[in-house]
Amino acid sequence: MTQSAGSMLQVALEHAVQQLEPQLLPLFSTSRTARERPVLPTVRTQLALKTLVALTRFFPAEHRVHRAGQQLELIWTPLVHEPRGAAASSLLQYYFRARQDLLDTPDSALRQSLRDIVRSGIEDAALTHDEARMLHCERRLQALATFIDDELVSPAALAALSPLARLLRWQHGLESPMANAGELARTVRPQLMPALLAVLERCAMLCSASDWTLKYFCGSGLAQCLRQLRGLAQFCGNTTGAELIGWLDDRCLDMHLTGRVPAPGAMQEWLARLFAVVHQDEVHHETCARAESLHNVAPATALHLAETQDEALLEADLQSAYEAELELYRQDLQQQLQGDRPKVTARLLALLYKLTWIFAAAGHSDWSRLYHCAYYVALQFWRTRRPLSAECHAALTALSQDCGAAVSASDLRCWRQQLLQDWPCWTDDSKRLIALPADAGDAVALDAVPALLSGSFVALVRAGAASEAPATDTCAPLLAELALLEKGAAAMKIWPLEQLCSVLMATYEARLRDAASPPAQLMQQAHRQLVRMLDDAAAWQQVQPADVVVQQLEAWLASRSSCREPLPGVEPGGDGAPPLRDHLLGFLGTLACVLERPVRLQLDADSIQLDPPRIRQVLECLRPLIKFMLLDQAVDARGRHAMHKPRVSTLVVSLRSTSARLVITAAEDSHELVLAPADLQRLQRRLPKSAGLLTCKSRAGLGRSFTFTLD
Amino acid sequence: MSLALIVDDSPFLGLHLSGLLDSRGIATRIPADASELRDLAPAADVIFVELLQFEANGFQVTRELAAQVACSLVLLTGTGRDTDLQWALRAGACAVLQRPLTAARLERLLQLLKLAPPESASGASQPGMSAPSRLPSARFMPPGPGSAAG
Repeated sequence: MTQSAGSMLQVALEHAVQQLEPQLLPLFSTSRTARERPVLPTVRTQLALKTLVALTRFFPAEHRVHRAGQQLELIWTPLVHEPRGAAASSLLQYYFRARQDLLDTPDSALRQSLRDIVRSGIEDAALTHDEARMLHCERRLQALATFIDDELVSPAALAALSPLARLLRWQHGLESPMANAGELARTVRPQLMPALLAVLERCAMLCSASDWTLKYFCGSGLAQCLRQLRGLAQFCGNTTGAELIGWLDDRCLDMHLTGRVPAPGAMQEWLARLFAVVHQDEVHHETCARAESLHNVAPATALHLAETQDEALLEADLQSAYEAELELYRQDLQQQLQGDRPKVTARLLALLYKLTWIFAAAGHSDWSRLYHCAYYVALQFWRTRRPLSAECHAALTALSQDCGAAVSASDLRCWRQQLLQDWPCWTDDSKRLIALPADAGDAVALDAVPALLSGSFVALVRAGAASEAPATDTCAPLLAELALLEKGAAAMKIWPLEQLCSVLMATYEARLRDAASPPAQLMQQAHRQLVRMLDDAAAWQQVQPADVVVQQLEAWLASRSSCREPLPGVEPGGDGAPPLRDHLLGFLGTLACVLERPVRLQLDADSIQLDPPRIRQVLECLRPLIKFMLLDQAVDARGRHAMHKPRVSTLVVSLRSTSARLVITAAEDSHELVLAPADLQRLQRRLPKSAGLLTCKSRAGLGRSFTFTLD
Repeated sequence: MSLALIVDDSPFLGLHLSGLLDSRGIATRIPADASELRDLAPAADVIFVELLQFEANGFQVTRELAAQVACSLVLLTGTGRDTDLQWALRAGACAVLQRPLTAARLERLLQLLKLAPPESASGASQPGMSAPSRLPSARFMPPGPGSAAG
C-alpha cells in the first residue's frame, strides 16, 4: 500500500466513523424512563457500520485496522438482539476499544513506539549502566525517525522528535549516577509539556462550552482531545495523570450520553484535576485515592505516596531549628504579601520553595503539598508577568498566617481551590515556537529553551575561557550559538541576556570582518558574565544586567566604527572603493540612526568578486529595497519584543552568481506577510530598470525575503 | 570517615540532610559562609549544593566549586524542572538529588558515589559499621572507627 493510499484510507476511515457515531451512540443512551422502549439500530446504522467494516478490508489481514473491523462486525448481532437495549450491555466499551484501533493514527503509533523506547531506556538506566543497550535504544529511535511519513504524521510530532532525540542522546552520554527512571521521564517531559498544555487548554475550553449533548461530544472533538491528553500523559510517565484523565473521560462521556449537566462547582473540580495532570506532584490524597479505586493502582501514585510518607518525624534537636526558621520565613512572607495585589518577586518564590521543603522534611506533607501548589501558582504569575490575583493573594495571606498550624483537610482543600481559582492562563505567547537558524525546519516551544541554551553554553564557555582571543575559525560557530541565545533570551524576555548577546555578536562580527578583537580581559569578563546570566536564567531567577561590560564593549565597537572612515556619504566606484559589505554597513548605519531601529547585516557574497561598476549597480537596486523593508510597517524594538523577537533585527543579503545573472535576495525578520501583487509592482518601480522581476516570499517563522536578478 | 559539606542557606534543611548523612556514617559540615566553604572544600568527599538560595545560585556555586575541587558535587533541587539535571551536569555536578529527600534516594546516591556499602548502608549487616541511630549533633562529627569505606 502506498503512503498516499494509506493517507486517503485513513481520512475515509475517520469520515466513516463520523457517519456511524451519530447513529450508533444514541443507542447507548440511558436517559430514558423504564417504560420507554429501548432504541433499536436502524438500516442506516447498519449501512454506516458496513461501510466502515468494508473500508477496513483494504488493509492487510494482520493489520490492526483489519482486525478492528472484524471486531466491529461482531457488535452487530448483540446490538440487534439485546432485549433491554444496547445501553444495558457492555457493548459501548467494546466499541470504543475497536474505535481506538481504527483511528490509532501513525501519530499515536509514533508516540507508542517512543514510549516503548523510553520505557526500555528507563529499565536500562535503573538496572544496569549498559552502554550497548543504550545505543540500541538510540538506534531504535533513529530507525523510527526514518520510518515516519511526512504525509501521515502531524508536523507537531515531527518537531517534537528532533529535540527528543537530542535529549535522549544527552541522557545516554551523561552516565549520571542519578540517571534513573524518574530522571529519564522528567527529561523527556518538557518536550511534550507544551503539547500537553495546549491539549489541556482545549479540553477545558470544550468542557466549559459544552451543551452536554452527545452530538457535541462527538462533533466538537472533545472525545478525541481527551484521548490525546491521556496518551500524552501516559507518554510523560504520568500514570496518575493518565488514570485521572481516564476517569474524567468516563464521566464526561457519561454526562454527554445521558444529557446531564454537571453540578455547580464540578467544572472547577475538573479543572483542578487537570492541573494535577500537569503537575503530578500536586495530586492530593483524595484524588489519588479516587483514581486508584476506579482503576488498578497506578505505580506512579503508589511511589509518590510512599515517598512522602517515608519522612520520619522530627527529633527534638531539630524541632527548635524548625520552629525558628518557620517563624522567620512566615514574617518574611507576610512582608512580601503586603499591599494590594503585589507582584511576585524572586524572594517570594524562594520563600514558598523553602517552606515547601521545610514542611516536607518536617513530615507535614499536607502543608508541603499546599505550599508546593502555591509555589507553582506564584511561579506561573511570575512567568506571565502578572501581579497576584485577588483570590490568590488572599489565599497566600491566609496561608502565611496559619503556617504550619493544625488544620482540617477541608480547609486545605479550600485553600488549594482558592489558589487554583485564578490560575493565569497560558497566552498565545507561551505556545509560540522559536525557529532555530542552525537546522532549518527544527523548532522548539518556549518551555524547551533552557534545554537548548545548555547546548550553546558549552561552546561559549570553552571559547571564552580557553583562549585569550578566539581564533577566526571559532567565530562563526560562536556567532551561531550567540544568535540562538539571543533568540531564546528575546523569547523568554530576558532583556539583559539579549543585550549582552547582541553586543557580543557585534564584537565577533567585527573580529571576523577586521580581525580585530577587544582586550582579552574584557572578553573573558563578558563570557563570565554571560555564564552567570545563563545560570540565573536556568534557575528561573532574576537576571541582573551587565551594564559595565556592555558599555565597555559598545565603546570599543564605537571606536572601531569611527576608524573605518567614512562610509555613509561615500559613493561607490572609483579607485580603492570599499567592498560591498562596507557600503551596505554604511548605508544601514545611517538608516538605523534615522529610524532608531538597530539592524544587523548578514552578507553572504564573500565568494563572489564584484567590480566597482557591478557593486554600484547592486547598491542602486538594494538601497530602495532595503529602505522599503525597514520602513514598511515600521516595527520598533518594543513591537519586536512583543513578538518574542530580538530587539536587533537582522537583514540578510545574499548574492548568488549564475552563468549570466546575479541573483540577489534580501531578507528581514520582522514581517512574514507576502506583499500583494499591486504593492510588489509599486516596489518594483522604485528599483532601477536593470533589476529583474521582484518576488516576495515568506520564510515561515523567520520573516520574509525579496529576490531579483541582475543581468 | 567520609566528609560531606552541605551548602544550603536554610539551617533546618541543612541540618535535616546532615542528620540523614550522619546516620549513614558520613561526617558533615555546614559552612557558614563562602570563605569557610573554600577552606573546607579540599577535604570533602562530597558537597551537596542547594539550587535555590536567597542570595546565591546553586549552579554558580557548583561551577565555582568544580573549578577548585575534585570531589563529587551533588545539586539538590525541588523545582521539578526538567532542565536542572542537564544544567547541573554542565556546571560540573555529578548528580542531581530531587527533593523531597528520602532515605532510599540518598542511600542509592551514596552507593553510586561509593560512599556507602553496596548492600545496605544501615550498617546492621556490615561488620564495623556504626549503629543506624541518629547522632545527637548534626554538626561536625570527628572521624571514628567503623566508618563506611570511602
